[in-house]
Amino acid sequence: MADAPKVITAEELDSMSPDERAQVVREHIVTDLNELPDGFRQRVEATATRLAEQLRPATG
Amino acid sequence: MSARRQVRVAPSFFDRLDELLPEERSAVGVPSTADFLLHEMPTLIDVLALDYEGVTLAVSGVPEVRVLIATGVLVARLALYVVLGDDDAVEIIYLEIDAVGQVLRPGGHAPWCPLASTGPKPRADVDRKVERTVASEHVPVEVEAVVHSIDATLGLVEEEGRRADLGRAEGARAGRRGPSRRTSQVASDLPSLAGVSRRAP
Repeated sequence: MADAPKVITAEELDSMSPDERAQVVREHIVTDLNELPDGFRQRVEATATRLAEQLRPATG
Repeated sequence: MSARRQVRVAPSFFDRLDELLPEERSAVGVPSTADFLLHEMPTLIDVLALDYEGVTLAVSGVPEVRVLIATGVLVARLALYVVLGDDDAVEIIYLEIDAVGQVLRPGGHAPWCPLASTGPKPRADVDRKVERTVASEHVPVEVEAVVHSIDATLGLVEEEGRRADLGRAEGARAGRRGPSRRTSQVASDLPSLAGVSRRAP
């Protein structure tokens, strides 16, 4: 789980059609936070919390 | 599946993108801001427009903000932070990138990058922008109209339309702030596409 995923580079994406690129991006969307390494998941949660705290006064 | 939602991109997103990625693609595969805007963002905007709840994840205790996470395309992992506007539009407000040890920007490393020599960058400035812009400064980005209004032979026209929308969004932001941002330069380099319809903000 903590392993870095193989990254498709910009150069590789350049060689794909728009539809192929879209398919690749869709296939790499994560549907469960528990699939993430702990460090990144915790950072995501902390950032979301921080953003929400900033939003609350702004949205009343 | 429900109807498409409008997707807007906040200036705070572009500011964060400028913090994280370099202006030029590196020889070792680190993408540029333009790579990210042109290769990855159009599809992410599309899926948010089509299936906001399906592709975003809730964060425990944070009902206001949802997160779209993708792995393995251009960067090891990315997180797009989004909120729903009063009009049910999706608003992209912030970005995190996990580069797994890569130096994203020479001299401007991502705050968590172990190779960063100067420690975490202050985020207060960007944070203030998030707070300010979420309330009132979002830039509308309408991508769906491109698909049906133009002959998308081989998908190239559609792709250019999406690029143009991103470019307009960035151009609108640049118009408010001046042309100094790197993504503003990227946007100015994007091709414009006559006839692309776009919902009025």
